[in-house]
Amino acid sequence: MRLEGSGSSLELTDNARVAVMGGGPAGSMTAYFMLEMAKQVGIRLQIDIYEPRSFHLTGPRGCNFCGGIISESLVEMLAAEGLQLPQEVIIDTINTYTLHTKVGSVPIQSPKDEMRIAGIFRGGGPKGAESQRPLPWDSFDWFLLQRACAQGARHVPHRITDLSWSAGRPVVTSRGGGGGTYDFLVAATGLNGGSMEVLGHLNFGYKPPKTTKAYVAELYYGNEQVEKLLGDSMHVFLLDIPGLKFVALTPKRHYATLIILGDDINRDMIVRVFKSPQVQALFPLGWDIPVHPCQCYPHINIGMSSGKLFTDRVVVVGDCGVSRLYKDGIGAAYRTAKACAVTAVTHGVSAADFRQYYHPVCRKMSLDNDVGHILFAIDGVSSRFDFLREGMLDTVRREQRYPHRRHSLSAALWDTFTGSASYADIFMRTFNPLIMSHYLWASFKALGRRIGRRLMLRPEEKER
Amino acid sequence: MLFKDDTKKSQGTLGSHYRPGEVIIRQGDPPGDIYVVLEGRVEVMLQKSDGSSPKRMTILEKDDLFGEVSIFDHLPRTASVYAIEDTRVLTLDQKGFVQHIQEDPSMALRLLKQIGRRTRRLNGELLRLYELLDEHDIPVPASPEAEKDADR
Ligand SMILES: Cc1cc2nc3c(=O)[nH]c(=O)nc-3n(C[C@H](O)[C@H](O)[C@H](O)COP(=O)(O)OP(=O)(O)OC[C@H]3O[C@@H](n4cnc5c(N)ncnc54)[C@H](O)[C@@H]3O)c2cc1C
Repeated sequence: MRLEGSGSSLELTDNARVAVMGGGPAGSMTAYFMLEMAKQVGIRLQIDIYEPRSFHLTGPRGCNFCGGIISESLVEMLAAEGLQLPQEVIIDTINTYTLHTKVGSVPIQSPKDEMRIAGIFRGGGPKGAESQRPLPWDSFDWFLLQRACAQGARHVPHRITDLSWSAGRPVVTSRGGGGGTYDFLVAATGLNGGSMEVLGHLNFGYKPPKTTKAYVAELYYGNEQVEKLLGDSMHVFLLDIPGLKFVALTPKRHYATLIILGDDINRDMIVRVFKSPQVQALFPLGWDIPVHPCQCYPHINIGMSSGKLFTDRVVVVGDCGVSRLYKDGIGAAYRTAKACAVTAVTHGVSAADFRQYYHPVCRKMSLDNDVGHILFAIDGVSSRFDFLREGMLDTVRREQRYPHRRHSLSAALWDTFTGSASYADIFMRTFNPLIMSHYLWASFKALGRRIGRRLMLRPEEKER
Repeated sequence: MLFKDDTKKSQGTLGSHYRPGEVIIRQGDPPGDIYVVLEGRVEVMLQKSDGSSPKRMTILEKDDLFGEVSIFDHLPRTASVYAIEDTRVLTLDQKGFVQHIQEDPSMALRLLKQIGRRTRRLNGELLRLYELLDEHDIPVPASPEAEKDADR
């Protein structure tokens, strides 16, 4: 076990060497912000980003497995940071969420009348798309990596195969080229590259975060069917399938991205989702289970690592450390990247620096996820009572006459799906007495209607 | 052909679209959100209370932020902003943005950088104005703020 420094700050000085392990959003953004800040404080950094994946390849080889939704808050932050998404990277835009349940559907409009959510492909796009090169889009991860390189980072297109220490500094071993001793190492390997074990070689107490298996599929609809069936809306399904949290179907120009989140998604759950009447209604006519879509079962972060996320000269950012529960993972990568960059450049790279300036950001996210778990548990219980679902839909329908109100169930649901607010904020707003009274009253009326209908039924119909 | 007809209406465009001459912010309106120019150009126009014709203060382009003054002083909008050409702007929610600055104060640096750039440009323009007044032997009028300071 390596001992940490006594708290004296280890500062990055001119020409300090930095290795970034992984050029996904967390790694590229950390490099980008470190270089931007280094310019502001007048130091030069030599940053190497190790990333073996070719993001312009189609299918799983070029992709970092994700739904590809850039949340409202991240779209805002990237624009404010001067990291505006170029036209070629935005595959589609969304301004509505449509909520589908067993008892009906309701659209929720964006509280601001504009396109504020982007759909992107992390890599070169779905498997099969390569049959029509040149592709009409660019990869999101490639865009971020290029922006980091434009700031002065160097892309080393190789995988890091081992990590060790030499005289208190991290040593990188890479297959194919690069490698050596660095002043600072940023680990941004994500969860799906099988590299968390390599991180363990540094022996500073790192433990992988809690994860569960999810499902993503890119379904080819064709442009017309996407417009006709999905429009500019992301379709969220709250289905009564044990272990399922939610399902989302997102328009991506010619494709629809299907995401299934829950407790260890398996084949049986996927078949039940595909066969549910709500999902079927949004499939092109005659579809059953689409054969051979571009699909994957990636791991998703559902709880911060119980081990250490930093030591002297090493820090863990993005998914392999902490993320936001079931939403805005790339936004979480942005937050940890930014906090890491600010700490490393303006304070130092000792464990004490990270404890003081970086850890609170991770901790806050993790605590917020605890509130998120409570909200999902409440939703799990309410999903068993149709009258509560009906009450929710009725409340939202009523509120949609005034979609700009912040204090409404619609706004809380919008923020839950878009990741625009913290779970704590959503919790406080949802359990606001006014909203609750509207919701409970609508549910009470729905219950009344149900009892009324039941009383009107003849005995033999009741038994059915 | 997998990707025929690749030109759907608003596909791939974020933010709100404004045509040339359309107003985005109106002088005197209550303070509110901040905006980023995603595409196109906008002009910032200032009108004196005497009703004289508005004067163009500056032109803003892609990546420029505007409307940010109101998050500092909470006073009504100090100028109007119009699109000069087909323009797209993204609205940054005022409350969310202020919250974010509190979590990540380095975000404020970008605002300060932009305000600094504008101050430099204004100083340059002020200097040119003084030179012009000098050329025509017109005395430089004291600003109301400077008079107030002198009284104190
Ligand atoms: C089903 C699913 C749907 C999701 N949907 C969304 C969504 O719609 N929106 C959203 O914001 N988030 C979403 N997420 C979360 C999002 O994918 C992650 O939060 C985000 O990718 C984290 O970024 P990262 O850079 O930490 O990790 P990653 O994106 O995983 O990047 C890690 C990088 O490290 C590289 N790497 C790994 N090992 C090594 C090594 N040894 N040497 C060098 N490089 C290495 C990999 O090649 C990879 O490029 C989803 C996740 C899942 C599982």
